[in-house]
Amino acid sequence: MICRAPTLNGTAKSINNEAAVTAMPGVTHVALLDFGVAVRARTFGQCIDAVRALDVVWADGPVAGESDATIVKQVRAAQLPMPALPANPLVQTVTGDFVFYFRSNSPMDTNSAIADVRADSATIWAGLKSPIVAQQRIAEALGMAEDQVKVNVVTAGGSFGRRLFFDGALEAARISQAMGQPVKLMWHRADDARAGRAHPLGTCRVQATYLGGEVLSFNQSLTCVETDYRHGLGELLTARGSDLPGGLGNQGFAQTIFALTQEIPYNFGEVTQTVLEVDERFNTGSMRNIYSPDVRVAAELVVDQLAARMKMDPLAFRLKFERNDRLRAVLQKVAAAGEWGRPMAPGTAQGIAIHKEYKGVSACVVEIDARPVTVDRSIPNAVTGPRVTRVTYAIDAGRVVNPRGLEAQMQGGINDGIALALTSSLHLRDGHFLEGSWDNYFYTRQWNTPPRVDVIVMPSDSEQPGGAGEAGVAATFAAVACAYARATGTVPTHFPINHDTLSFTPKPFIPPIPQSPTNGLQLTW
Amino acid sequence: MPEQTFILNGESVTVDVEDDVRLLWVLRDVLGVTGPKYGCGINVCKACTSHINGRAFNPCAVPVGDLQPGDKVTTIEGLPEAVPAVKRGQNGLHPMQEAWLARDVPQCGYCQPGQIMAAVALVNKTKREGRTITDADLDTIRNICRCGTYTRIRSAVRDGATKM
Repeated sequence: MICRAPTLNGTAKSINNEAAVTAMPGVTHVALLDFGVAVRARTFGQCIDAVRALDVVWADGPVAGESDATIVKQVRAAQLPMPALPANPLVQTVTGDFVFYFRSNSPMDTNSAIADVRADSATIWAGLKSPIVAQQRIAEALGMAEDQVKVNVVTAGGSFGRRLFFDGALEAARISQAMGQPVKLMWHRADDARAGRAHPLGTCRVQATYLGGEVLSFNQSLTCVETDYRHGLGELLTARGSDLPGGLGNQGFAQTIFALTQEIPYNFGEVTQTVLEVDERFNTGSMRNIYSPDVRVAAELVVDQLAARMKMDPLAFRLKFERNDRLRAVLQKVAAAGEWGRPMAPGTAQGIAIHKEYKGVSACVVEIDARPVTVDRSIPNAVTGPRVTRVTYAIDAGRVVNPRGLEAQMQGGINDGIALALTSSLHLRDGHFLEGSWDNYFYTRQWNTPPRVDVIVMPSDSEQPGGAGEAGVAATFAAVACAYARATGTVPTHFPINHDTLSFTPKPFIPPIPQSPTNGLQLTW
Repeated sequence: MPEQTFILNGESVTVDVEDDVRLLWVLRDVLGVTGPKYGCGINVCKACTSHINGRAFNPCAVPVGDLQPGDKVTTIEGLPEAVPAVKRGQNGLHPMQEAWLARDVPQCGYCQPGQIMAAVALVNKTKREGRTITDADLDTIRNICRCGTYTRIRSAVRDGATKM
C-alpha cells in the first residue's frame, strides 16, 4: 500500500521513521518514491498499520490551497462570451447557468496490480483497458525497452472510465523496482476517493431565443476542468500527441470527442454547442458517458423552461420540436408506459428527458418525491434527500444482441443518473478532496434507488447495433433534474443538488487512511 | 506468533498470525479465500459481508484474535453447503445464488458475493421475525453496488426468499 501526501498529488521528500516502520509486524519493505511511501507486508491489514505509522516529510501538490470556490471562479474566468442577443425586441430569451462539481469514478475495487520487476525484465498483472500504452509507459518509467515488459490483462471490476488509465500498474512497477521484490499493490479506498480519477468540475451555460411558437436559436457552452485523455488511443504515439505542452494535445482530443458525441436533436433554429477545458492539475478521466450527463441536464432544464414560456406541456413541447423519428417514438413509448401527466401529489412530480448517442436514442420519465417526510427520513450514516420513486426508460439501440444485458445496463445507468443529480460529488477544500470512503461519497444506495424501474427495449429493424454501457446515464440525470425542478418549483443551479451540505465529518489527512474498526462482532445481524 | 483457530466453511482451520489482523486479511492474504471482497476496510461498503454462526458480519472489522475455536465462519465459497442438499438448485448452489443466476444480477460482479451473503441474512432475519420481505426491508441493505444492479438485487432477494 501507499502512504500519500495530505494535499492532492503532493510528493514525498523523506521518511523520519523508516527503521521503526520496517520493524513492525508483517512489514518487509518500505520505499520512498515521489508519489508517496510504499509499504510491503504479509497482509494488507499490516500495510494499513504501517502506512498509518509513517512519519513523512511532504511537499505540497499543485492544487494546494484550492477549493471548489476557487476552481469555479477560475473556470468562470475562462468562459467565452455567449453570442449576442438578437436586436428584435420581440425575441424572448431563456438562459440557464449550472455548476457541476467533481465526481469520483469510484469503482468498487480500488486500483490494484501485481508487478515483478527484475534487472532486465518486468511482468505486470492488472485490470486494464489500454494495456499497450500501459506497457509502453511502464517501460519508459523503468528505463527498459518495450519488449522487456510483459503486461497481462486480468479480470477486474467495473471501470466507469477509470481503467483507461493504468495508475496502479505504473505505481506497482515502480515500487517493485525500488524494492527489488515482486509486489501486489492495492490502493486503500481513501486513496481511491481522494487521489483517484474524477469527472471534472464544470459550468454549463445555455442561451435560447424564441419568437411566438418558434425557437430561433439554442447556444450551449460547457467550460470545465480538463478531462485527461493522455491514454491517447491506447498506444504511445497518440498518447504522446495528447500530452503536448500546455494541454494543447489534450484539448484536441476534448474537442473531437465533444463534437462527435454532443447534439441538440430538436428543431431549434441556429444551434451551437462548444466545450472549453482549462486546468490540467487534477486526476480526471472519461467518467461513464463523459460530457453528455452535464450537457443533457443543462439543455433539458432549459427545454422545460421554453415549454413553460410557451405554456406547453413538457412532453407536447418535445414532440413538437423533435426532429428525429426514432426519438419521437421513444418519447411516445415512455410517456405512455410511464403514465406521463398522471395526477401527482404536491411535492412530487414527473420529469421527462431525451438523449441521442451511441447510434441509439432514449427517453426517460421519472417520478420524484421531494416532500419533507421523504427528504428528512433518517437512516444512520446515510444521505437520504428526495427519492426517485419510479423510472420508466425506453431505448432504441438499433439491433439488440443481448436484450437482458441492455436492460441491465439501463438499470445501472439509471442509478448513476440519480447519483449525479442528487447525492454524489467530491468536495475540494484546501487542496484536497474531503471524501475518504463510501460513507462520505454518496453513490445511489438501496434507500435511494427507485422501487419501480421499467426498461423498454424498442423493436428495431436496424442492422446496426448501438451502444449500451453508457446510454442510461444522461437522460436519467436530466429527467431527475427536471422532475426535481417541477416538484420544488425551483430550478437547481448546481449538481448534485446536495453539494452545499457537507453530510459527513472528514477523515484525517495525516495519517492518510483510516484504521479498520474492531467492533464487527458486536454488529452481527 | 499466535495460533488462530476457527471453523471456516465447515472445516476447522488454524493459522499463525497476529491477534489484531482483521479477519478479512486472514481470509484473503493468508488462507487465499477471496470471495469476501475489499471495498473500504471500515465496514461501510459491505463488500466483505460473510456469516458468523449464521449471522451477517463484516470480517474487515473483526480482529482474528476475537474468534473462538468453535466460531463458524461462512463465506460465499461455503454458502451452498450451508443448506441441505435438497434445498440446492440445478447448479448445486444455495437458493439465493440460483435466484441471482436466474435473474442475471451481476454486472462487474465485485460486490456480488457480499450482496448474496447479505440477502441470505436478510431473509433469515425476516423469517425469524415471522414475516416476508418488504420494500422497506430491501431499503435497509447497505451493500454498495457501483454498477447499480439494485433493481435486479431487489427482485432476486424476493425470488430467493421463496425457495429458502
